[in-house]
Amino acid sequence: MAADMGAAKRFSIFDPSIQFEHREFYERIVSELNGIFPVCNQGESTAMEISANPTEQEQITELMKRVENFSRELLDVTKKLFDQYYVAKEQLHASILHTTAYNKINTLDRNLLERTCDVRWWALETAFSNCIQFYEETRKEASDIFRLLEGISEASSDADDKALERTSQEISFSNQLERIKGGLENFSGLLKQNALEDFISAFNELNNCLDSTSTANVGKTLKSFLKRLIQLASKIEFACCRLEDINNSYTLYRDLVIADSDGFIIANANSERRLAVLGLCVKEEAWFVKALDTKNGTEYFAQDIYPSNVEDQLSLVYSTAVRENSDENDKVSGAMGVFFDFQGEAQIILEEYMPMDEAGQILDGCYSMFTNSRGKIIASTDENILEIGESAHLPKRNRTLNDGESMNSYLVFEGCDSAVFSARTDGYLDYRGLGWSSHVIIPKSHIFENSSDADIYDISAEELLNSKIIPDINKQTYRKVQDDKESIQLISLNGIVFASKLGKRGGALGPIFNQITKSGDYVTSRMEDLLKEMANAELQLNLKALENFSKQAIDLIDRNLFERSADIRWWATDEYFWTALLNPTEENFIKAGNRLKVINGSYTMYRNLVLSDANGDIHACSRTELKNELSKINVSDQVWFQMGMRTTLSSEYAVQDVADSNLEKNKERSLIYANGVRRNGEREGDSIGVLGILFDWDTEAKKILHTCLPKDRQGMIIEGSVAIYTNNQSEIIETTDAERFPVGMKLDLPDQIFDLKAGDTVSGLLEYQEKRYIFGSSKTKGYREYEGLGWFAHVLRPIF
Amino acid sequence: MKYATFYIADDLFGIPIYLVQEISRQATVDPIPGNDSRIEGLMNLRGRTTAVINLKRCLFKSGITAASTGQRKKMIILETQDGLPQEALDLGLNAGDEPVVLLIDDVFKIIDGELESFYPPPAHVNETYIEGVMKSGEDLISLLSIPKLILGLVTHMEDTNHGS
Repeated sequence: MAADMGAAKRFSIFDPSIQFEHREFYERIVSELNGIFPVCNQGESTAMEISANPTEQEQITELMKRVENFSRELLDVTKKLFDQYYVAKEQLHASILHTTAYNKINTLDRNLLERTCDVRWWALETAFSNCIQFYEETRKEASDIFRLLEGISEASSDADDKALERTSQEISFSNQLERIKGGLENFSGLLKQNALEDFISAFNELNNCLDSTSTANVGKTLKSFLKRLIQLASKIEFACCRLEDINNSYTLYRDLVIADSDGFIIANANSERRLAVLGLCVKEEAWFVKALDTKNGTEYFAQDIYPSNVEDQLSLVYSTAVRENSDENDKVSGAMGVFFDFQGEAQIILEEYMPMDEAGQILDGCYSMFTNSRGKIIASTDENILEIGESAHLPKRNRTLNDGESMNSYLVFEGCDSAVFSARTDGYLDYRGLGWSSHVIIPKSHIFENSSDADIYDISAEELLNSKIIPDINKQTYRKVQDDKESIQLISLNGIVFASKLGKRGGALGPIFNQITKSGDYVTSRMEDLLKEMANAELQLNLKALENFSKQAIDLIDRNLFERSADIRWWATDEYFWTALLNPTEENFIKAGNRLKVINGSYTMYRNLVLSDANGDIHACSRTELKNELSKINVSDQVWFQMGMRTTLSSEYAVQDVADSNLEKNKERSLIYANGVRRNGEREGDSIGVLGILFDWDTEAKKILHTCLPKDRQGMIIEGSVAIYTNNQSEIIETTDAERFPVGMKLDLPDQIFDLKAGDTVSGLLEYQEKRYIFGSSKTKGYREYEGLGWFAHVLRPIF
Repeated sequence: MKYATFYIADDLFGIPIYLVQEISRQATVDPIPGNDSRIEGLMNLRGRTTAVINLKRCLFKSGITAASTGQRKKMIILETQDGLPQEALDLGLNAGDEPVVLLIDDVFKIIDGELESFYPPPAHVNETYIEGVMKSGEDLISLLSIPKLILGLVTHMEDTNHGS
């Protein structure tokens, strides 16, 4: 049975979520307050006994009535207080876990958006269109050769019929001929790994046999075809090699494949799977069919998780057409499919932000999963309980979300009272997503458990209760409790004043007012304790929220920068660049510049891409209008260039931390990735020049930081909050508040931040420019091959 | 005898309970023109215009800045001479003829004490208005002389009026 966690929820003191200690606490307060009423009655009776004066009697009765009223109000406030406490905990948790669920699906979508760019760009690689084109031509020629060999075969058969007995040599020749004919007839079968090499060898032998018997023309044709077959093998090998290069740079793919127009895979990246994949027919698979249907190079198809023949596990495939001459508007000649390591990536994302035990395992009863648009589980943190391919047993409202919608419910999951937080993707930028949802399941007890003590923070409970951290409704309750406390205190004091004026007669009223004072003090001070506990819980949860935001900020930039490290590794192998550096003519550098411009056109997160020779002189750039200006600059003294020159593998890359650069005079800071360009695009060797790519750091970083600012319960960014990145020198490298936290300024951060290990988070209080903040900070842990640059993300929220 | 004790800044003061008519939250006070900052202003007390005395300004020597307790201020409405009970008169207590209101920082509690247990006043307060000091538990309470306080203010006002 699921229950809504909506705003109308009220916590009765008998709600099972209410902790035993709090229920006991409540009962004591109620008992104490109920004890005041008989005391007041006694006070009224005593007034009658000690005074015959109606005015005096009325004054005492009036005081007692006022005490009773305040006691009733306090009873009501007590109930509200528990309700507010638990609602506050629930709402804060809901806010954190809703954000967590959304972040998971959003992180995945951000990742998948990059994949749609990847496949479209890679499909334009000339090695692939050349390979397909050459394969198609060879296949056509194979038909001619088949007919030619059939003629030879028939002639040979006629001769055999006339001969009385066939020699073993003749039998062997005949078999060889038939085998070759079979290979030619089923040409796609030659795509199987090693099949083409074997065929070439067999064809060569046959050719040698025929050399002596056939005419010169036939011999020439066969030799020419043999040469073509060898060339085809070489082109397929090169295509596989280029796919491997891509995969080495972009390690989040399990495989990349190129298929011809009939759906036969002619090249793949994953050498371990090559035997099974090459020659495989995928013409029935949607990713292939839809790729052929794309209108031009800007279109792609995303195949939702499904079983593909290419892999032995469920696949998530992005595909597009390979076009003739690698022209995005030319005719379709085949298809490229990229098989994203969804399971691996999903696992990383699903485990993030989950409550962990000391051994780094997700706590019992906590789960996270992704479901597809049909509500089937496509990845989960515990496949024994949340099985892949099964329907997620969630409340309907959590399964039937609209794009961008989120939902929180209570349910019993695996025998445990739990809360489930779900969020459905609304895509990211122009990627609309596949209608997937993310779900986080947490035991209810985890939501309502006691917070740790806030005494470790340099803030008093009173300060906290008057701070911006505490929602207005809770502050109002705090004030109401203080107000009632004061009212009861004043009534008691005035009662004692009044009694003293009655002289000895008033002595009987003294104990009554003392009891009222005592009870009032007890109740209100206990309620203040509870309010302080509530404020403490609010502080803890807000700190947790800031930690999560800072973690999100560092994770998003790490993931973004991983893509940049992948880009540079792949682009540095581009033929245009090594050709121009090996043969440094103006024409070649113009071609290299145009190539950079095309790349930059697709990858708009770069401000410029530059190609320098081994001396540090820039010869080409994507912003061709800057070519003359940049060609006067020598970058040999710049860190990115020096690091790039030192790389010896195409799988390496270099990055210079955010710094001033004379390549961008109008920018405060540049972030430059570099890699050496190697002779013939080889994977290993000395650099013959350096490709440098200038990431549009401030725009991208600012965008991310803005998404990580804390929001109030209405979804509005909390005024005065700020998100920043600092480098390992505590210098601000990007900020959402350039006025108070400008780039370049060194921030005096608490020591605990510097003690953080990679990937860890911390939170607390800090003072900056006489203003106090709560903060959450995270240290980079990098992402895949991107190791991070020792940066931190901090999210600050003002306390007052 | 019982004493009503209260805070002015961080210091505790007390007056005999018989001199208290009522303790209340701070009500609206209308400022009055004049150069005596010890008079906070006037307030309407059950239809009667009553002077409100800012005790902090009366008690602390110039240059001493008292920290605020952060609490909302309170008022002690003083009894008039006519309203004093016989017990108060027997003890020789005196009050003003007109109602007067004292503005204090916060009320503390009602304590029991005997006049004999009071010691001479400490140096940091204006001893003109202090009759003595008493220990109540850990607390040190200065006994305030209401007649001297009111007399001092009235004399000052008269001097000012004559001067003008």
